[in-house]
Parts: sequence; structure tokens; C-alpha cells
Amino acid sequence: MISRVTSTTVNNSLVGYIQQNYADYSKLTEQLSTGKKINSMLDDPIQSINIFNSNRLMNRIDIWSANIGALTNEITQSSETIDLIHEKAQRAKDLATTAANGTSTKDTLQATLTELDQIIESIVDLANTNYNGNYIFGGTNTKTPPYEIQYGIDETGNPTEEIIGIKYTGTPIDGEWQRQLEIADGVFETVNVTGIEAFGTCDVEPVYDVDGTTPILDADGNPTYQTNESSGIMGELINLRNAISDTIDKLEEQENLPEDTPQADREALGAEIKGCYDSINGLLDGFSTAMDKMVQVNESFGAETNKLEMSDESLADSKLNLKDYVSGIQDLDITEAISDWYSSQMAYQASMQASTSIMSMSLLNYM
Amino acid sequence: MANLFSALNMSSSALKVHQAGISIVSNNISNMNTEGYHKQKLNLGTLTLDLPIGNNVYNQVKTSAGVEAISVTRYTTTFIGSYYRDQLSDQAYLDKQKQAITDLANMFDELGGNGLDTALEGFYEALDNLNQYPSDMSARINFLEAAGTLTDSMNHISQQLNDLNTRGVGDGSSPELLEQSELNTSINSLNDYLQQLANINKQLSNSHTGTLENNNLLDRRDLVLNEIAKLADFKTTIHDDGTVTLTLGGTKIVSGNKVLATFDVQTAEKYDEYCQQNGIDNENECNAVIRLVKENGSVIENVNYRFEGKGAIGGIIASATPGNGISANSILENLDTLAQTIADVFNELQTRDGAFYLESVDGKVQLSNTDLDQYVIFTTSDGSAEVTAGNICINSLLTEGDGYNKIAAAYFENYDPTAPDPLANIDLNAVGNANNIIAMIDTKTDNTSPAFDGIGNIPFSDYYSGLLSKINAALTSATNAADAQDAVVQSLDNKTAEQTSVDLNEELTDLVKFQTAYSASARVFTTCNTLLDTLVNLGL
Repeated sequence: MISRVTSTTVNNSLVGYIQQNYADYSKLTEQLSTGKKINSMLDDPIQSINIFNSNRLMNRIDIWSANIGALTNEITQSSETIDLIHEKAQRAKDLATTAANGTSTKDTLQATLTELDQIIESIVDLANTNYNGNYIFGGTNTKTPPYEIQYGIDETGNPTEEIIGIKYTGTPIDGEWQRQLEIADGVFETVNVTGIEAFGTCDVEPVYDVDGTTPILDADGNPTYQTNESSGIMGELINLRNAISDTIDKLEEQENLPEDTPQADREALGAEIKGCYDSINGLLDGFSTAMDKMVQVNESFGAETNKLEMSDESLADSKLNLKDYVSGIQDLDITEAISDWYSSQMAYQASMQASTSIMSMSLLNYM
Repeated sequence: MANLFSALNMSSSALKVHQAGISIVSNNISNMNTEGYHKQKLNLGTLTLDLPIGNNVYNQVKTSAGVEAISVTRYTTTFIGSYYRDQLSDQAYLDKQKQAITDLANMFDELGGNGLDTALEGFYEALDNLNQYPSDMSARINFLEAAGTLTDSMNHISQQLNDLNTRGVGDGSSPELLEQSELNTSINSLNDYLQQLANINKQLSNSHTGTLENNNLLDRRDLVLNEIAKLADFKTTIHDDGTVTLTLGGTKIVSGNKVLATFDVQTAEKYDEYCQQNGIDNENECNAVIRLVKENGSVIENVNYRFEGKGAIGGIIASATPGNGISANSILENLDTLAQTIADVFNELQTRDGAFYLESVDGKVQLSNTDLDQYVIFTTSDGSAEVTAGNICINSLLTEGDGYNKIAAAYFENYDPTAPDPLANIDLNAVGNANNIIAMIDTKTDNTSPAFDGIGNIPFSDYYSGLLSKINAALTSATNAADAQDAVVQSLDNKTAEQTSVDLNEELTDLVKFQTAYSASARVFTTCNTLLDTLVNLGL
């Protein structure tokens, strides 16, 4: 017996073909309307894991790029601030050079001192720069200004307007001062430099009696001070200020010498004054060293900026590659898809047409 | 004279038989779309009379008494029914597994980007932001929000997985949930089918083979057997009279007109009680246990293993039993481990020696580590010590009031809790210190800490990707297996249909055949009638 082909089997297979064609057609329609081959993990379980991992990495790259942006901005800000402080320090050094040539009068020196005070104040303002809510030179002590000008006292212990120190209150150099941002998986780049590293400190305190309020006076009846720590440009500025102030005192002493002062004493005072000028002169080397330090810090910032630029470029490259990769897996070849779509539409229509004409045929039509 | 009457009788029997033939055709056409209907055919035979024949030609003619309907044959397949049912059973099993894994895969469809991974990445992004602004209130709150999103999404997925599991077999303790479970529904319909089969057995034993009634019963029997095979794999013995005996592992379930044993389900908890009372080792891992209750009242308490690997019931049990490849259960276990590890890793960093949080002292913010131990980030909502994906939540001490300050962003390496004055070397104003946050961010790549042991010292994201890969691989293989089995069953279906289904043209041909024969018989009848008339009129 030849194998039977019955109305039921014919109907079953026709329905099967139509459904298959319709499934193909609607799948292609979905792909065309989204432009993607893979719209859900069910579409291609294996490849979609690759897409998923790549998308995650791209999101991370976005964060790292943003971090590099933030790093670059803050470093640029720090670097510009250091440049400005360097300019001011240069002016102070010029003042010192002029003062050290020994020809300045008391009045000129007084004017120099006033200008120096202004320089100190503006340098401290700059060192207390607040960027993005943080005092950038304070290490991790970001919410309090890192530098504070210390003022002297008079014989009775009342504060005067004389500048005696510039104290650094930020995180110490050997503490946990770094602020870091992630620029790649597990790679952290430091944003900041501490003030004490770049500008040093000059912490000076008046010396008090055991009661803590009565100042101990020196032979001339002036309050005494003790220097706890002195370094960097801040130390040099205070040294310069002290030296100039000493020189002014000596010059004033010379002006006020009684007529009958013996020649020997006059000469001794003259030598002291000369000594003062010499000590101003002697500060110039220290100034250069302190200013070199700032230049060094800025150079390291420059190197870091270059490095960040390179990282940024390579991140952008990786992202581009990942995008290419994902689009290779996921994106639809539109030309191919459209031609497939048309042919699947034809197939669908053809299967429906064939089905109706087959199903409507039976012996009934001829009885 | 006798011959004329016998011709008359013959044509009348032919009329009867062909009318029956038309009835069969009519029955076939009526049932051409009935599921499980097997085409029937009227078998005709010559009717002969038992007469002494000898050489007498007239006697020879006399013995032919026309046609008779011998039997109604049911078209059957040459395929063994049990093979087909075996394949059906496999199909139902694989289909259930595919369905379960598809549900899972849908739940973990991360391409849309609204799942657990997004939450985890969001958490790290918030950490990155916090690293940039460690003392900033909004960065801290933002971090807690992100951590909350992470725990919420874990809770949510855990809930969904539990629902998936509960939908299959209940939660292991609640009788109500078991009642509504898919397993219970399947067991109930299995019992129904068993009863139907027993009824059919009874009717079959009361009917004669080769009759229309018998054939229709066989059709129904095959349908019921197929439905039973889709649920579970029984040993089926078909007897000569068409009745069926069903056996499950040596126990007769249906024999003759009786259901000898029925099934019901109990919760895992109840089964455990039973085991404890009777000193049996309970190795059951499924939330529901199927019992076999015999007619005589004796009970086999656990027959889950009898359903293993076959039928929809086997599929439901497999999808709900841990250690059985990828299932809602095993994924939930993995997520619980992930939740525990996340809690361990971040809580350890948060509360380690040298970590400091923010504290407002006289309006000024500074660092502190007083009672740091109680400010863990992740804790459990039900107070249990074990963290699971279902109970992980954010410590309320961090979310209430200014609790956001209690996130320990700062860390000092040189902090020594055993020193006489541990705080001596610590700059308590260093509110910009984010070293602890950096350590937290670093958990993306540095997984050497013992806290990471639970997930095999790999990053969270890798662990989760691995989980997705496993689900997707399982989906691929389950889909392939189910599709292949579909094709097998489909081809068997086609072959069965080829051999047993009704073809309209065939029936119409038969119809014409019977109709023609009927008309011809009627003509013979009329002719005989006329002949008789002629004879009768002769005498007049």
C-alpha cells in the first residue's frame, strides 16, 4: 500500500508551514524595526553575554573618562595656582635682591616690608584656593583652609598686626594625604599635592611663661618667639620679613644714636647693619631652592597631565573598539535584512495562497 | 422459484450492508477532525448458506446468499504505541524544563539593562562619586541610594525566583501554596486520567472487538494513555481485549476496572516529620513530595524518584530540585552566596581597624571611629545572621537622620588600635581621606580577601556574568533538546496521521462506491419485483 496522504496530514503540514513562515516574517520585522539582530538574551544566548560584558566595560570606561576629566581639571587648577604663587615669590625675591645691595634707606625698607606683607597675604590666599568644594593644597584635610597667618603679640600678650609665621594645618606629608581617582580597573591616580610639599610651612609661636598668658620678654623688652618648623617658600618669606624687619630696627637704632656715641660703637653698629644686609643676601639661595621646588611640583603635574591625556586617548580607543565589536554582533545588516524581509513576506503570502487552493480542492467540487 | 426469492433477499441484504457502509463513511467524515480518531472501515464478506450442493448448478447458486458486514476495522499504526508514549513523556519532560529555564532567562534578560548588574555597576559608580566627594552629603546619600537599589533588586529577584519555585512545587511548608502549585494540578489531573482509564477498561471488557463501540473506546483509551504519558512514565500492558494495566515500579496502579492506587502531594515539611517519626534518613530536596496511596490504605510516602526524568511531573520536580543543573533553586543559591559575599566584603572594609566615619562636633565635621562596629553597611531585614538575596538590606543606622555620615570613607594604614593613644598619628580633620572608598572600589579587581572565598575569589561582576552564561547555556541546551524532541514527536504524529486519519477524498470515493452499490442493489430488487409481478400475472 502506498503511504496515505490524508486531508488531516495535509492540513497539519500546511498550518505548520504557514506558522513557520509567519514566525520568520515577524522575526525579521522585529529586527528591522529595532535595527538590531539581538534584542533579548533569548535571541542569541551565547553572543548576548559578549554584548552584555562589553556594555558593562563601556559604562566603566565612561566613568574613568569622567574621572580623567576631573583629574585634569583639578591638576590644571593646582598648577596655575602654583604658577601664580611662583610669580609672587619671584617678586619677593626681587625685593630681597634690591634690599640686599645695602643702599636702601629705612623708608625704602619700610615700603618693602609693607609690600612683602601684601605678597605674603596674597600667597596665603592662593595657597588656600578652594576648588570644587575642596581646599586643594590641604591634603585630605579638605574642608579647612590649609594656611593660616600667625601674628605677633606685644609685651603684655595682646595680638599685634605683625606677621610672624604662616602655619600649614593640612595633612602632613607623611600622613595619608593623597586624594585619588580611578582611571582604569584598579588603577588610581593622585589628584593633589600638599601645601607643605609645594610651599612648606613656618609655624611660629610666642613663648609664654608657665601660666601660658604672660609673654617672656628678651633683653630689649620684646616678646620672644619660637619657630617650631620652617621650610619651603613660606619659611623663606618669613625669614626675609624678619631679616628686613631686623635691618629696619638696626637702621632706626643708627638714626637714633645719641651724638656722643663712641666711634667704636658706631662702627660696631655699622658692622651689624652690614651683617643684616648680608643675611638678606644669604636668603636668596634659599629662595631659589624653594622656588625650584614649586617648579618641580609643576613639572610633575605636567608629566601627570600628559599621562592622563594618553590614558584618555587609549580609553577612547578601547571604547571605539568595543562599540565596533558590539555593533558587529548586534547590529543588523539593513540591506540584507530588507531583502530577507521581502522574500520572507513573499514566502508567507505564497504559503497562504497555496494552502487555500489546496484545502479548497476535494472530490466534493465534482459531485 | 426459490432463486428468484433468494435474489430478492440478497439485494435486500446488500441494501442493508451498503447503508451501513454509508453510515461508516458518515461516521468517518463526522470525526475527521476529532482528536485521536482512527479511521474505520466496514469489512464485507460473502454470505453463503450451508446447503448440500452436489453437482446441481441451481444449488450452487442457492448457497450464495449475498453480502454481509463482517466487522468494522479500526486503522491502526504499525508504530508501537508504547514507543510513541515514551517519546511523548520525554517531550513533556523536556518541555517543562525548557519552560522553567525560559522563565529564568527572561528574568535575567540583562540586555534591557534594568537588572542586578545595572544595580551593581550603579553601586560602584556611586562609590566612585563618593571617592571624589568623600565629605559631601549628597555623594553619601547617593551612595546609600545606590546600595539600596542593589539590595532592592536582589530582594526582588529572590522573590521572583521563590515565586517561580513556589509556582512549581510550593514553598515546602504551606499547604495552601502546595494546593495551588503546578505539581498539585498535574497530580490531580493524573488521578483523573487514571480514573478515566479504569472506566474505559470496564467498558472495553464489556464490548466486543471489531464493533463501532469498541473502536471508539480504543480511540478514547489511546487518548487517555497519551495524556498519562505526558504526565508520567508508567509501564503499560495492553491486553487482548484492549484493556490496560498500568504499573509504576512494581505497584499496579490501574488494573481492569479499578484504580488500585492514587497519588497525592505533601509538603517537604510534612514528609520530614514522617521521616523523623519513623527514623528514616530524609534525603528529599524538593519542596513537595508525592505520595502513593493504595486502595487497601497502605501508603508509600515518597515516590518522587519514580517520576525522575520523564513526563511533565518529572520536569516540574527536576526544575525545583537543587543540584539538578540550572534551576530557580540553584540560581537562588548562587545569588544568596553573592549577597553574603557582598555583605561580607563591604562590611569588613567598613568596620576594619583604621577606618573612620564623619562626625559633626560643634558644627565642625571631623573623623571618628567610635562604635564603628555597629555601622555595617549591609544587614538582614529578618535579623538572621546569614545574609541571603532575600533578606539583604541597608543598615537602618545609616539611613536614619544623619546616618549617611557613618559611612567610613577614611582609612589610615598606620592606625594601631593597640597603641596607648591610637589616635595620636591620625589627622581627624582629614575629611577628604577616601582611602577606604578606594579599597571598596578596588574590590572590582582585587579579590584576594578571604571574604571573597564564597564566590571563588573573582569579582562580583564576573561571578554574575558567569551566572548569566550558565543560564544562557542551559537555555540553549534545553531549547535544543526540547526542539529536537518536538521534531521526533511531530514526525511520529505525522506518521500516525498518515496511517490512521480520515481522508475526505477517500471517504467521498467510498461514499460513491456504496451509493452506487446501493442503487444497483435497489435496481436488482426492482427487477426481481418485476419478474415476480410477471409471474403472478401469468396465472391470471
